[in-house]
This record gives sequence, structure tokens and C-alpha cells, in this order.
Amino acid sequence: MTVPLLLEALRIVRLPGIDEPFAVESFSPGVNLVFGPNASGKSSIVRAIELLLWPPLHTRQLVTIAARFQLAGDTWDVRADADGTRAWCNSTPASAPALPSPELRHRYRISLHDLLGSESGDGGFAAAIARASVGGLDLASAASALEFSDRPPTRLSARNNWDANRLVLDEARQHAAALHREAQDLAELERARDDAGAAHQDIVRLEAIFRARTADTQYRDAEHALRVLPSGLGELTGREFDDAQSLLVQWRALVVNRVRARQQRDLAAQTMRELFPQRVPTEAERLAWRALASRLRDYDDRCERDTQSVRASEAERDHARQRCHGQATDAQLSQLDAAALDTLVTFARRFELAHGALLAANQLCDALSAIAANTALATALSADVLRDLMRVLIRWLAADARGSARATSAGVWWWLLLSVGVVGWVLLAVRWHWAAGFGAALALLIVLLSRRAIAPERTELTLLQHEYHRLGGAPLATWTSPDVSGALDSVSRVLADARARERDDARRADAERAVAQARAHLAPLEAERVALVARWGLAPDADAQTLPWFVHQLVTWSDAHRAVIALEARLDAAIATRAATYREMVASLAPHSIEVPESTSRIEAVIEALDARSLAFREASRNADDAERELQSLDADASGITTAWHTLLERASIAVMELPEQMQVVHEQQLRDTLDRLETGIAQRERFQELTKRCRDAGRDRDSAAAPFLADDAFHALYVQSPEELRCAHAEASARAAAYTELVERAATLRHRIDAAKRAHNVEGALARFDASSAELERAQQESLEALVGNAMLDFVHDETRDVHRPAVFHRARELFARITHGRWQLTLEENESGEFGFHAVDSRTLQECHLNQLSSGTRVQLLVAVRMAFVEVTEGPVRLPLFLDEALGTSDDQRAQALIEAALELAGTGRQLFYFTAQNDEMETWRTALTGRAIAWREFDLAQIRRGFDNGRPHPGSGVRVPPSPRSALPEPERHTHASYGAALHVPVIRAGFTPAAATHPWYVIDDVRVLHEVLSLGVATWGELQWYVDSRGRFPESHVSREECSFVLERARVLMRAVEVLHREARIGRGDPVDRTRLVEAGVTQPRLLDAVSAVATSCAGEARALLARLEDGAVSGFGPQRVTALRSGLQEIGCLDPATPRTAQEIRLAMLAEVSDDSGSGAVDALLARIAAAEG
Amino acid sequence: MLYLALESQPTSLMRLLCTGDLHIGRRSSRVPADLPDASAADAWARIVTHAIHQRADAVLLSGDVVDQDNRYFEALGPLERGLFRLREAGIPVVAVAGNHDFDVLPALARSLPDGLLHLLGVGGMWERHTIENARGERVHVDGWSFPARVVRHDPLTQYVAPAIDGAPVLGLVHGDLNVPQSLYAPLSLASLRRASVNGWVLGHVHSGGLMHQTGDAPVLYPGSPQPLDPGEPGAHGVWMLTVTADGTVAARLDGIATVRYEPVFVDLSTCATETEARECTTFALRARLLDILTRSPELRHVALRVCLSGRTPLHGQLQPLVSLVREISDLGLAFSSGANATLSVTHVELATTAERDLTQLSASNDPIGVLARLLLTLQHGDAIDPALAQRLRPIPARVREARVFAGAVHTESLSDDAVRRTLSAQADRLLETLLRQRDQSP
Repeated sequence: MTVPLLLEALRIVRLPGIDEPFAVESFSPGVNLVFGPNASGKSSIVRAIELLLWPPLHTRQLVTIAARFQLAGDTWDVRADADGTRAWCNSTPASAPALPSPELRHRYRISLHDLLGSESGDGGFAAAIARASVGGLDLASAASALEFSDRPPTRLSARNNWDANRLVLDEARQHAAALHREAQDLAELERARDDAGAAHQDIVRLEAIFRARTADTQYRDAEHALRVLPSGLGELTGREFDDAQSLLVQWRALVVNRVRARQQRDLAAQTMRELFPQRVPTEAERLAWRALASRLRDYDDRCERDTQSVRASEAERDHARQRCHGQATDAQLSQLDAAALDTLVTFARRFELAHGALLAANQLCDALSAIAANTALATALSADVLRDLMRVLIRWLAADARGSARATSAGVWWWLLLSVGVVGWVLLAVRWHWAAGFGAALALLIVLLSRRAIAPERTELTLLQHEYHRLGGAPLATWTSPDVSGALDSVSRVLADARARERDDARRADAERAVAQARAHLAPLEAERVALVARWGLAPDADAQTLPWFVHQLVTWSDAHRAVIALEARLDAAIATRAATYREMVASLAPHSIEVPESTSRIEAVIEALDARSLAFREASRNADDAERELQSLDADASGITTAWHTLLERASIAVMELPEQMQVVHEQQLRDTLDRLETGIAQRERFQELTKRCRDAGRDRDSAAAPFLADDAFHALYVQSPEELRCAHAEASARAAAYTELVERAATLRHRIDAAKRAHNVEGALARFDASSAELERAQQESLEALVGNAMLDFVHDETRDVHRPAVFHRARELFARITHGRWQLTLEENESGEFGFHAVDSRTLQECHLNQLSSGTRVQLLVAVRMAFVEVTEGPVRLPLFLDEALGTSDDQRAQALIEAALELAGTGRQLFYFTAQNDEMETWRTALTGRAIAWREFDLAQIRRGFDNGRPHPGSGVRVPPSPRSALPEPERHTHASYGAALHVPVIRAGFTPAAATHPWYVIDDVRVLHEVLSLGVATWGELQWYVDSRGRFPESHVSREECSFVLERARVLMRAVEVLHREARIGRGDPVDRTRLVEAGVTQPRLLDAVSAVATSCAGEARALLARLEDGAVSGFGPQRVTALRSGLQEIGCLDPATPRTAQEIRLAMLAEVSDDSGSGAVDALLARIAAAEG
Repeated sequence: MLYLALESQPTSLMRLLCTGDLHIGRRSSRVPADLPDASAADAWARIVTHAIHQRADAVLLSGDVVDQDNRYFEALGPLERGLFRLREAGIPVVAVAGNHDFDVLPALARSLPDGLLHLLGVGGMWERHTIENARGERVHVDGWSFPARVVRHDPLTQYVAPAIDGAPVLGLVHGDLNVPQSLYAPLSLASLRRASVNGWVLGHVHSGGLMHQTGDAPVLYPGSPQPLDPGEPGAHGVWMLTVTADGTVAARLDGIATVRYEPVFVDLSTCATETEARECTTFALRARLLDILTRSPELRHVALRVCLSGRTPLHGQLQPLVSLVREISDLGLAFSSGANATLSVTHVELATTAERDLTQLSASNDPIGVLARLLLTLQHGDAIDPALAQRLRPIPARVREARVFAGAVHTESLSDDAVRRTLSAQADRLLETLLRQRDQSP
């Protein structure tokens, strides 16, 4: 259930475009006709109402407007000013009522201006309907997002890349194939080359033969000349004469040197014989002699030292014997052996020890006895008694100390208590009191008790004094602590002395026991002492000191005696050895007849003399050797000179003359002759050498020329041929080898190219790039397939669903549109190539589907009004808002205007408030006519007067400004016109062959009868399609003054001609393609804005004809659009179908096609007449 | 090295390096143009080096050594150089011609010095060559070469085994196995089994492998040692064939390819957000690459074909991920594996499915319902609506006749199946878009 919003009043104080405030009141709840000239504020009223109903949220406008309206029985006041928009409901501030969303406000405003200016055809409405048709789904946007398309994506770059790579690959492969073909001839080429090479080789061989044979001739000539010369000349160098002279000089010097060397050798031999007539002592012998002399010298020294030692030992023995003499005789000494001497020594040591021990014991015993005698009377008390005395005195001192301390303490208390007792007794005496008596008694008691506690120590002291005296202690002066302490010190010292005495007594006893033991040891030795004294004649009292001394003297003598004996033996041995050495020396010198003196010094002098002689001998010997070596060297030199001399003479082929041992005159003459002969031979040498060289060179040339062909049988075969034959062969080979260089170069070049090709990667790389571009193109192909398949699927889905869910608004719009156009047009919803939805109109007569921009302005406005009215009616919410029509009838004829008004009044009949704004009086009249007699309230407002303050609405029709109706357009009457002139009067539209739909053909072209044509046009029919629809739907013409038979005939003829017109369009399209406009230019790839504008203008000037456009562009019609861009555009236009590569039909071909189409039903005259009309219409 | 089959070798007899379908003259496609060592000629040079290092007793080439499109000197030069190197190493080369080099290989063999290349079966006649190594051990190779570019009959029908002398026999032939209507020497496995040979080395299939059943002679397609396009995924290399005295044949694949085309399937069914999908994809790619590069360190480039799959609510929102994956060129592998290989993505296929009930959606009459019914029809393999079929019918012709594709049409992409696949994909995309619209509408 919806409620209407009814505007009652509007006041505009300030609004852009309004200079003076004004108010409009008492709006009708039905229809309000607002009349006003342009700029009178009609649009401002609509704008003000929109601002009040849908105030802007974020921007504040400098407006001051107010309105009052009724809504569901409530009176609402709304005011908008700089502070915003405020509302009052029944004079109470309230929030604005809930209204349709602001986005829908344009649905309530139907402006002729906006409708005419709408290029999109109200795509928003269409899209909304399309979405509603598919259940709220946006198939178009989905298809756009998924890139579905009826045309495959143009991937020219991929194709161009593929073409380029294909071209490169083909070139590379062709190049490889060409090289391969060339290589097929390589073998033949190489055979030709080898043949030419063989000929070339023949030439080389022949030329070598020429050279060899020439050289061989030269060789033979030179060899013949050489034969007359001595063969040895060839070996001469030219220096032989000088060499011979040099040899002779050397020989002469050699002879002289040889004589001198012989003399020196003989002199040295004489000297050697004189030095050692018999034999020269050898070096070993001389060394042996010197060693023997040295040994003799050592023996002499050793004998001397031993002699001195014997003498010293004898003196020492004599001295020991002298010291023993008197006690021992020499006889006794001589009988004393080592064992006896050891016995004596042992006894003397034992006796000395025993006697010493006895002496030491006696001395200790004596000393202890003296000490004991000195301390025997020190005290009479024993040590034990003294210890008891000390204990008594110590105990006394301890008891005394305890007694003194206790007595001191008790004394204090005693005197204190005694004082208490005395005071107590005084008090008792002065004033009897029991407490005083008790205290005195207690004090006395304590005094008594303390006296009894001191008594034991005193008793102990007394007992200790008695004990001291009992033990025999020395009497003390007083028994006080100092005296007792002094007594204790004294007893202590006495006790120490007693203890020392006891220790001395023990030691003396030990000493006495030692004396006894020493005496016991000495007793058995005494007998032996006596016997010894008697034996050696010593003094009978020889004591322990004498006996050892005597024994020591004996030992000394014995040692000296043994030393004398040993030294004497060694001396004798040395003397014997020297004698033997002397004899050895005598024996060694005897062969040289040299006497050996006894004295060692003299022997050494003899040896020195021998050494001097040996030196002289060696010098002479060395001289002899030098002379001998010189002689040998001279002999060798002589041999060399002799050999060189012989060689020289033999090489010069001269009879050999032996060199003389001594140079005498005869010899000199002979040598001079020889030299002369030699000089003559050398003179012939140069001739010989020249011939030899010539011979050698010729031989070498011959050999070098023939060397490469030693194993060549052909060479040897040719070598023996005659010169004429060789020249012929050479000429033939030269002819064959002429192309050798070229063939070699060609073969090498080809081989090089083949080798290069074997290392190249041209085809491989081209294949790889071509594969990559093929893959890219395959992806593009897949993308195309996906786009097309997706698009086909989308169309399928669209077809399957679109009519199922068409919303009621669409059906209502289609109904309104059909009603407004009297069934002439049907509303459809179509999707364009961009996936955008738009309204189309289908001509019910021709079934031709037209886009909005293909409709006339009136039909277009009617379509859009119908759509908006349907939206307003069907899709709004609970509040029905007023509808504002702004000159919506401006483009409609009366009939259609009436239909529009009827549709609007139908809305007003539902309680919707309606506003119609216009500046046209005829429209006002139309409205008045339509409203008259209807049960719809309505009012007129003259806005100009309102703003001038004259009138504010008129309550009834008839009071408004009446304007005459607009003049109706009239068809020219046919009576005074021929067919041609009638067409001119009608301003028949031109037929654009190939572009204009056949159904849009004006009937004038195909209806020959002017009267029938007038009748047809009078029905409102403007095209062949309308006429056909009219006839098909009605089945006949309306009643008219033209007979039915006549009409049928005319129409039948017109149908025939229309077939010709269809052929005309079909044939004319061949080779032309779709017309080019701005959109198609973008599709073809012209995207740069500047170029697009310019090219689009050229396309328009060319009537969209692609070939003309391209021709203009190639002529430079657009600056900056060069040939490359033209080529790209050509491809693009061809791709999108604007440029048909087929050859366009000529006019004659088209005419023939038209004739062929209608030949069965009409003659050529009708077609020609039709073509003439078309041409005439084009002017 | 990838060991696909290596049997016990009781008595090792001969080690034969087998390869074929080199197509020298081409290079791996869909890889960077400046990628080094990416040509078949480079692969041949590596094969020669490998044969020398492995001390192979012979090299067997199973045809299509030279590519038809580049069969002249550019291809022959590297081939000759390799043959000379092998001769210097004392390794004989035995080959048969394939459909690509049926003419050029015999010509080359004639032009080369004797013994450099033993081309068997020239003119379509079976021929035997005996390989004998330094130890005096022998293996017979029976070979047959293409006499023309097209051979419609099975060459095995003309094969007559020579007298048996105890030495193992290998068959070497170029042909199409188990494709009876093939224009390239159709071979049947049964005829191969019937022949009394110890093993077959075939050519013509670029992604080869070893077919071996217990008791049967193994049939080996060595495949291209260097993959040439994304249709040849997986490991490529040469096969080292070990033939023992008792006729046992063992084969081992040695990877020498520098390029590897690898399909990677990423399951996004567990991803709830786009970030998770991105991380999941990156992780899967990294893991796969690390695995590949660890197994094949000789690779210099890996070209991935990524397929995003799985039933996920993100279906329809993965286009940014597709764009991201398509531009991936570095996953930081240099830090992880130390590999020296580059990376590219040749194709990203979005094969995810949405979490939606097509049956439920098909109940409505709106476009969503129509699309859902269409997808169900396509999924079931049923015939599509005649009206839609009518609309689709001229599309291949339109594409084919479009100027941009004239003369360069990839007919396989325009087959009925291709159109049907495209229709399914586009219907899915459109349905997803419309569902999103519906979800976003107030």
C-alpha cells in the first residue's frame, strides 16, 4: 500500500538562477500545468523540490527554500537554508520522511532536454532491467570481466611476430638448402680442381725436367774441364805456400831447440851420477834413518833420566838405613820381607791403640775423682728428703694463700655484722624493739660462723711446719710467706747440686771400668813388645810412640830399596834397546857406504848431509826430466810438422821431400825448389775451384729439380723425351691448369662456407624463435577460442533466461511504449558489443530492431518517457512522489502527445501528483483538452505572472493563457505532381546503397502511382517497413478513394522493386564493409585521442567508407598519420569487418544483379526507373 | 644418474650407449633464449663425452638423429665432430635412420670415412653389424632404416633372423609402437617379442622408457636425450645397455639433459585463504624443484607446468595466484641446494573446483541454473543443448579463418574436444563470477 506525497506550496527565497523570491501555492493534488517562457524558473522549481526532498548530505548550498506537502494525512513543512534542511510534521520538528533513495530522483523528472541529450539511452534503467531479468545477476559485467567477446581478440603483434620469425626461418632454411645444393656440386668442383691441379703438377714436373736437364748439361761440361787438372787442386785452400813457409820456420826452430834440450838432459845426468854414484836413497829410507836417529835420541834421554832416578832412590834408601842404623842392621834389613814388615806394622798399630785407650780412661777417671772430692761435703741431706722439704714448703705457701683470702673476706663481713650487731644492741638498749634484737642476734651468729670457717687453714699450716722440722729442714726465722719462699729457693738449689753429684758418681764408675778393660787389652801385647825390642835392639822401655816410629822407618827403607832395584832394571833395558837401534841404523846405512858414528849428534849430522844431497839430486833429476819432455815435445812437433809438410805436398801433388834433421845449405836449396813448385800449383787452384763449383751447382740444380720426383714414374718417363715433346706436353698442361687457381678458390670458398655452416646456429635459432612465436600465437588462438566460446555460451544463457525473468517494470514500459506509439513500436532490451544493455525499439511493421540513436527524436523521447513512467509506477517504494514532466511532448505529434498525456493521466489517476512544465501554448492546450471532462483535479500556473506577483495559480482551465494550436504539417497534394516532382516535394530521404536497411526505404521509390503514394503517406507511413507492417497487420488499406485492386497491383509491383532494392544493398556491400565511425576506429586500433578525432572527422566526411578513408589518409589528410599507421589501420579495419577485401561491384554489375532478381516479375525498365529515382534523390 | 633398471651382471660383456631422437638442429623450446647448452647439438656433444668417459663399447642411435627442419650442415657439423671424437676414442657408432633423417643420414654416411658411422638397413632392408670389443666379445645389431618419410607397414614383417652363432643380438629400429595406423613404421609388441633377439632399441618416441617383462626381451625407447618441448616431461638422458654373455640385457638411464620440463600438481584443497594457497603453492614448487635438482644436478633449467587443483572455497579467487606463479623465476634455490639452474613457468593450469553443489544450483531457472546444468552435462559427457551446439559450431571456423591465425592455426586446439574443454572452463568461470555477484548483492 503506497501513499502519495502531495506538494501544496513552494517558496523560493534564494536559489541560484532566481533573483527575486517567489512562492507558488495551492498546488493541485492532481495535475499542475506550469506555463512559463524560457528562463522563467520552471527548472528551478523542480530543482528546489528535489533539494527539499533529497537534501544533499555533505554540501551546503546557498539556498533558502521551503515547501509544504501532505503525506499520509500529515502536513509536513520542510525548509532548506544555509543551516541545512529541517522538517516539521504537523508543526512539530521531525526527521524527514522516508523517501526513495536519492539515486532514483531522476526517475521522477522527465525532461525533454535531458531525454534528447541522453546518448546512452538511459542505460542505467536498461542495466537495472537486465539485471532484474537475470535474477539480479550482471551477465554483461561478468562477461566483460571474463573477456568474453563476439570478436576474437586481435593479437596482431603475435601474428606479426610469428610472420617475422617465419620469414627469418624460411630465409635461414633456404640459405641452408641453397648451400646444400651447392655442396652437391662440391665433389665435381673438387674433381675439376684436382684435374687442374694434376695439370699444374705436370707443368711443375715439366719445368723441373727442363731445369734438371739444363743443369745436367752444365754439370757435364764442368766435369770434363776438371778432368785435365790435378785432382788435388780441389783440396787446396790457397794458403798452402804460406803454410809451407811457416812449417819450414817452425822446423828450423825445432832443430835448434832439440839440440839445446839434449845438452841440458846430458848435464843433469852427469850431476846425478856425481851425487849418488851407486844408488839414490829413497825417501822411505831417509825417513827411516831420521826415525832411527830420533829413537836413539829418545833412548839416550831415557837412560839419563833412569840413571838419575836410581841415584835418587839409592840416596833415599841410604837415608832410611841411616835412621834405622843402630836398631837394625843391613843384614836384618835385607832379610826383612814384606810379610814380616806387615806384621810389624799391624802390631805397632794395635799396641798404640790399646795404650792410648788406657791412657784416656785413666785421665777420665782422675778427673771425675777430683770433682767428686770437691762436692762431697756440700750437703748431708739426700735428694729424696730435699724433695719432701720442697713439697712441704709449697703446700704451706698454698695453704697460707687460701687462708689469707678467706680471712680478708670474713674480716669485712665480720666487721660489718659486728657494727650491725652493735647498732642493734644500741637500739635495743635505747628503745626496745624486737627487730633490733633479731638483727643483733643474726649479726653475732654470722660473726661466729665466719670465725669457724678460718680455723682449718691455720691448722694445716701448723701441721706443715711440724713436718718441715721433722724432715730436718733448716730452721726459719719466721713462718711467713717471704721466709718460706726463700727457704723453698734454698732447698731447690741444694736439690739440684745433689742431683749433679749423683750423675758424676755414675760416670766415674764407668771410667774405672774402662781403665780395667784397657789394661786387660794391653796385657797380651806387652809380651810381643818385649820380644820386638829384644829382636831389634831397641831400648827396653820403648813405648807406644817409639815402636811405631821404628816400624815406619823400616817401611821407608823397604820402599826405597824396591825402587832402586826397579829403576836399575829399567835402565838396563833402555841401554840394550839403544844398542839394538844403533845396530839397525848401521845396517841400513851400510849399503850406501856411510859410516855411522856412535854419538847420536853425529848420526843426526850425517842424516842432514844425506838430505842435502838428495835435494840436489832431485833438482838435477827434474832438470833431466824437463829436458827429456822438451825433447819428446819437439819430437811430436817434428812429427806434426813433417806430417803437415807431407800432406801439403801430397795435396799439391808434389813429390815429397823429407825435412832434414839438420838444416844445411843443400837442404835449404831443396826446400826452396819445393816451395816454388807449390806456388805454381796454387796458381791453378782458382781455375779448379771455379770448375768444381760450377759442376757442383749444376749437379745440385739437377738434383733439386729432380728430387721431388724421384718416385714419380711419369717424371722419369718424361725425362727421357725429346725437348720438342716436352714443350708440347707443357703447352697442353698449361691449358688444362689455367682454371686451377679459380677452382681452388671456389672449392675452398665453398668448403669454408660449409664448415662455417656446420658451426652455425642460424636455423636452430630461427626454429627456436619460431617455436616461441608459435606458442604465443597458440595462446592467442586459445584466448580467441575462449572469448568466442564464452560469448556463445553467454548468449545461450542470455537467451535461456532473459524472457523468464523480465521484471514487471519492463513489461509495463513495453506496454506504455506500445500504447504511446499506438502499437507501432515494441520495446526490447539488448546488449551491445561492449556488454552494455540498452533499450531498442522493434518496428512492429518491419520487425526491424532500432537502437535509440536510430529512432526519431519523438519516438526516442516516447520510449524513454515510457520507461521512466514504468519505473515510477512499478519500482518505487511506499511513497508515491510527484512526477515532473518538462516539455515531454515537445517532439510528439498530436496523436503521440495524446498518448503520452493519457499515460501520464493514468498515473495521476492513481493519486500521483503530476507537474507539467512547458513554454508552449499548444502543449498547454493539448493538456487542457485532455483534462477536460476527466475526474482529475488540475491547475494551471503562469510562472511569469506568479513571479511578477499577479497570479498564483488558476483553479480551473479556461482562465489560463490560451494559445492557438500549432500548425499541422500537410502532405502535398498529388494532383499537380508527377512522380518525380512529388518526391522532390516530399524531400524523400536518400538511399545509401549498402548501408540503409531496405525496410527504411521511402515508399516513393517503389510506388509509382502518386495517388496511392499519397494515401499511404496519409496513414502516417514513412517507410516501406511501416507500410508492410500496416498491410500485414490490417490485411488491407483503410477505406480510401483508391480501389483495392489498384492498391494491390501497386503494392505487388512495389514488392518486386523492393527485392531489387534488397539486391542493391547486398551487392553494394560487397567490397565495402561496415561504415567506419569513431567506435570502429577505436576497435581498429586508433587510440591516440588527437589522431582519433582527426581520423574520425575524415571518416565522417567519407560517409564511413573505409576505402575512401584510407585513400584520404594515404594522401596525408591527417598530419602525423603516416603510411605505417595507415597500413595498421587497414589491417584493423579489415579485421573488424569495415573493409572487405573483395572487389566492389560496379554499377553495371549491381544493375545486372537487380535485373536478375526481378527479371521474372518485371522488366528492365522498372529497375532502371528505380535506379533513376535513387540517383535523382541523391541530387 | 637415474637408475631405472639395473639387473645383476653375472658376466659383463658389453656396455652400449643407446640414444635416439636427438633432433640435432633444434633446441629446447619455452626456455630462455640465452640459456646455454640447451640445443640438441650440445646434448650430442655431451653424449660423446659421456660415452668416452663411460668407456662404452659402442654407441647405438635409433633414428631421428637430425631434425627434418634443420637437416643440413648446421646439424651435420656437430654430428660429424662427435663421430670423429668417438672414432678417436675407439668407439664405433651404429645407427638407423628415422622418418626425420631418412635421406640425410644415408647421405652423411656415404660422405664420411669408412667405419665412422655404421648405418644399418639403408633402403628399408634389414642389415646386421657385429660389434666386437678389444676382448673379442661380440654383439650383433640388426637394424632397419626408414627408406622414406612415411612407412605404413611394420618393418618386422621383413625381418629374418640370420643364423645363430651364440652372440647376443640387439634390434635397432625406428618406429611407432602399438599404433597400428601410424604413418611411421607401426610396430607391434607381439612382433618384437616374436623376433629372436635379446633386446630392442627403438626410436620415434621422445619420452621413452624401458618395457621389460620377465622372460621377454626388453624393449627400450631411449627417448630424446634433451627434451625439446613441454610435451616431453620428466628425466631425459642416454641409456647404458649392458649385454651379458647369456644374452641378458640391463639398462640404466644416465641423465645428461640440461633442461627438464616438469608438471607440478598443487593441491589447494586444504587452503582456506589466498595467503595459504600462495604459501602452499610456493612450498610445493620448492619441494619439487629441490627434489629434481638434488637428483639431477646437471640440469641448467627447469620449466614447470603448474596445475593448481583441489576442491577449495578459493576457486574463482585464484587468478592473482595464477599470475604470480606464471611470473615465478626464482625460489631462492641457490641458497638451499646450491644448484646452478634457472627456473621458468611455461603454463599454469587452474584446475581447482569450487565447493558448490551443481545439482542444487541447477534447480533454478536463472543463468546460474543454466550454467550448472551445462556443467553437469559436460561432466557427464552428455550432448550439450542443440542451441548451444549450434552457436559453438562455427566458432572453430571463425578462429581458423581469422586473419591473425590464417596459415598458423593449431588445429588440435580447435578440435571438438578442445572446444568442449574450453566450454567447460568458461562455464565454470562464468558460474563462479555470477555466484560471487549473487553473494555480494544486498
